[in-house]
Amino acid sequence: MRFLVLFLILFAEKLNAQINSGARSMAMANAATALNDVYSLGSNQAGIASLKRSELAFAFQEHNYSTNVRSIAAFLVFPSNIGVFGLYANNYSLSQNFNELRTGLTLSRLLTSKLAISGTLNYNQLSISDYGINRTLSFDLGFQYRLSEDWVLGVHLNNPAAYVTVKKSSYNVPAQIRLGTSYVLSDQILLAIDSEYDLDDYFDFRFGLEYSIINRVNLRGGTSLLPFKQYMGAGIDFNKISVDAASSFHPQLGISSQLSLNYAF
Amino acid sequence: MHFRYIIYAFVLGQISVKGSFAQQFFDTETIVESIIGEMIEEAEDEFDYSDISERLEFYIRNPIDLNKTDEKELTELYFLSSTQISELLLHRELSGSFISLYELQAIEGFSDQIIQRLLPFVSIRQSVDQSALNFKDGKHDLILRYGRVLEKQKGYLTPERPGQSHYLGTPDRLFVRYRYQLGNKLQFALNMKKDAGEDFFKGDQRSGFDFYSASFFIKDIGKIQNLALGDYSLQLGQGLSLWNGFSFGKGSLVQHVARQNIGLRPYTSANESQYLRGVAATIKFGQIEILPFVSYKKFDGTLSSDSLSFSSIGISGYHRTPAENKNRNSASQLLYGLNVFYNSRNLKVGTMAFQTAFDKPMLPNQQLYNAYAFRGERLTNSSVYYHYTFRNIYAFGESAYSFNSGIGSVNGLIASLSHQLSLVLLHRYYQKDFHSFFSQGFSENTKTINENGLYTGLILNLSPRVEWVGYADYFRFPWMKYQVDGPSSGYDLFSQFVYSPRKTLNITLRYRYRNKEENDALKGPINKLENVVRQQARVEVKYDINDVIQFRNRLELIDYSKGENLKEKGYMAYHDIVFKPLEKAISGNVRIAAFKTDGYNSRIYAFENDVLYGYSSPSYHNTGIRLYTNIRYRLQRNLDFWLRYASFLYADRGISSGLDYIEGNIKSDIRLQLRMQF
Repeated sequence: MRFLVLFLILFAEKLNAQINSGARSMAMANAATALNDVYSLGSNQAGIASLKRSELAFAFQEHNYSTNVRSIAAFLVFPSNIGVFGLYANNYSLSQNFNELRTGLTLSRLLTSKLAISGTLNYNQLSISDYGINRTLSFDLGFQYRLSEDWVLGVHLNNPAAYVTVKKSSYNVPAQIRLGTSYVLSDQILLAIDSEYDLDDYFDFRFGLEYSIINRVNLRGGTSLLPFKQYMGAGIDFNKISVDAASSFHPQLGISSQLSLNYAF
Repeated sequence: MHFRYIIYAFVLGQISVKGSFAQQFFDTETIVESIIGEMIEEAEDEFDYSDISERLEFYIRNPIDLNKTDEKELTELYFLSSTQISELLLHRELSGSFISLYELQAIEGFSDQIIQRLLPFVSIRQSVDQSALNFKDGKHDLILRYGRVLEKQKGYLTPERPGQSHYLGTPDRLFVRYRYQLGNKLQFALNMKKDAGEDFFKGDQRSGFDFYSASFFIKDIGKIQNLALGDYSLQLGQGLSLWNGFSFGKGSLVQHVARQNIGLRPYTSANESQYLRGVAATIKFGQIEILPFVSYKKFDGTLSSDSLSFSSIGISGYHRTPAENKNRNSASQLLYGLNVFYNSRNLKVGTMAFQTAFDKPMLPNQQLYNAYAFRGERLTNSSVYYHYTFRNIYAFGESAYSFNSGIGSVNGLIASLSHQLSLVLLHRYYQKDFHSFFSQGFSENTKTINENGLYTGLILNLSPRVEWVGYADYFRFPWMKYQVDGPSSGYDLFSQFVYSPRKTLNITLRYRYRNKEENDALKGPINKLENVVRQQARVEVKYDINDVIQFRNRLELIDYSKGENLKEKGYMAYHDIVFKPLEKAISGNVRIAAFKTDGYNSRIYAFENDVLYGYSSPSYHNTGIRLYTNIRYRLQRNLDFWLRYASFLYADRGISSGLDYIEGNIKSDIRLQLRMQF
């Protein structure tokens, strides 16, 4: 167990990778900044602005099999007159020893027919057994701009305040910027590309593809560069309920899998 | 159906007649050269690709009749992928015979670029009836080539003390190539070669040239589809068990990771290994083809001190020094086997079994990385392979077994997700003790052994003028390798944009990232593995100034790092001028290139124009200038003369190492070639 913890720390992925954005996004290498569905609450909240119905979704992820690293997330959106509200909660845990909770309340709306914007207030809590609990608030901004019927650009700022006040405390939510685009190539194919930067010069580039093999059944795949991972997944849409599954392959850490379930009211 | 296509073709033709169907002003040589240049990513210098050039050149002179052709013939064009071939045949099946070449634009997956490339090789005219050919209709083709490095290399100096290694022969290179061709039916080929440093009519080369190769090939006599006598090559399945000659690796031709089962071919290139010598024939019984083959030849085995065994099989073909001559033809190899192939419209399945027997045992060095290497005198291989087309998916694969040792398997698919997007997936699994002496399966390793990996590629035609291709390949080597003292892994990423706004302008942007593990550079009893990262970026622009002159420019940057300490950077930039006046006796090309790299690790390869059937792809490293000029002069209708002068001018003195060492800072090479066709 101690070895595993050490191993995971050595290969630790960035904190943001621990934010769960559902199996559809994961199967596309998390290149989700310019996608819009209920799972946008985990990637770029501006993506929920165009949703017309209330939706509830859950996602469960087992990170790198048999490591006891798991995350569970819940997503809720409800459209209203002033915009679409979203509620998000994600719990990331390593056995009982390490536990990270993030919850967020979002308001997202269309400013024009092409531009969507969102603001999110997050509550973050980190607890490590024998070390105690740390809590902090953070704020996210999201944008999506529809260049054409088929082409969407997305920008997401995760805790941009940290750009202004970089204070080294024991628990920092990193400031990150994600730029992404999605393109509907044909009625069967959706392409998505994301890049991500943060204050520590961290950089990642991701590429995802969704292919509708038959009506209501989608196959997905993707690649992220840093770290190099390959992704694949599938989803079925049963009118009100949709189920998605995804797996990622890391050269050293092996396979992680995720299942998510969405209900539209 | 017919009518619709004619209208479609007509409308399209009006729009882009200038774009894609304007008469090519370039001659056959340039077309073939550009295709080969694209197929070769990082070639070994001096590899001979002439079997491909010859085939392409043949089809330029005798274009394939699109209304009669079949899969086998189209496969010989090499640059068409399996999916493109099946789409073309499917189109013909659905809409009837081709009426105009414009119809090519209506075929799924045929971009402007592909059509442009294909046009010189195809026609819809009635081809000449080959059965009426007479022996006197045959064509003779003789090429004589001479070449040498002009500066004195260390190996040619008189040895300072007796017993010191040196080259026995002169620095001259000689090559004679003769072909007799009777249409598509019958061919005789003869190659004779002397490499630099080899003796000529004396020493171990008493019979003149160091390398002789002859082949006789005949097609379509009764049930016998083809028959080869002398030197031949077999390219079967996905190449896991038996594949001689050139094979595609990773590169911009993403769809070509699916090997095309070519079968039996005469061996006509001048590479001194990787061919078979004996007799083979393909016999056809309805949908089943049976291919028995037998081969016996001598090869260069690295002999043990008692000469009773050998440790490895030499492939260079150099016999220049006493040590190289000692191993010359030092062992022999007998190969015999049978391939059976079932060919139906959508499903093609083949199976083969063969045995290789040496006259003395192969005993590789007792190093840990060789723990699973083949040891012994006899090896039996068997294999099953398939291609299957189902709607928009082309599936392919091969599984092979080497008796008493391991298995290898490769499986993949190419899916045309839409008319703009194709997906390529390939998974491979080669056990550490999977053996075959003729395998060239898709791999990162040079050998098809000790490797697992997953390759994902995409081809996106954003518009007829814009194409993007990319791939990601992850691989793992479960056992150690030469200079890698542990299980290791790595990945390879590639992205390329090609934009051709018009026929006369072509812009390519390319980026490649490779990450692999190797032993650290420290000398010690134990080596740690370090990551070796190689990044390359390339910008290339080709543009026609007018009907006579084309410019090509390339800038390539490289960044190499090994662990924390070893870092190198480099660049190379060239300017090419291609001069091809129509109907003039003279044509040629010139390159001037500047390069600067921090060392050999950051070397950059570039394909160079050469005399016909000559190939050059040197590495550019350290600091210097490269200049070459290649001129062809048509003396008479059937008599051509080539002259090529190429030179490296380095900033520092001292070039190469070992026996090839040159004291000065210039290395220049000259080639003269004469071709007679009668």
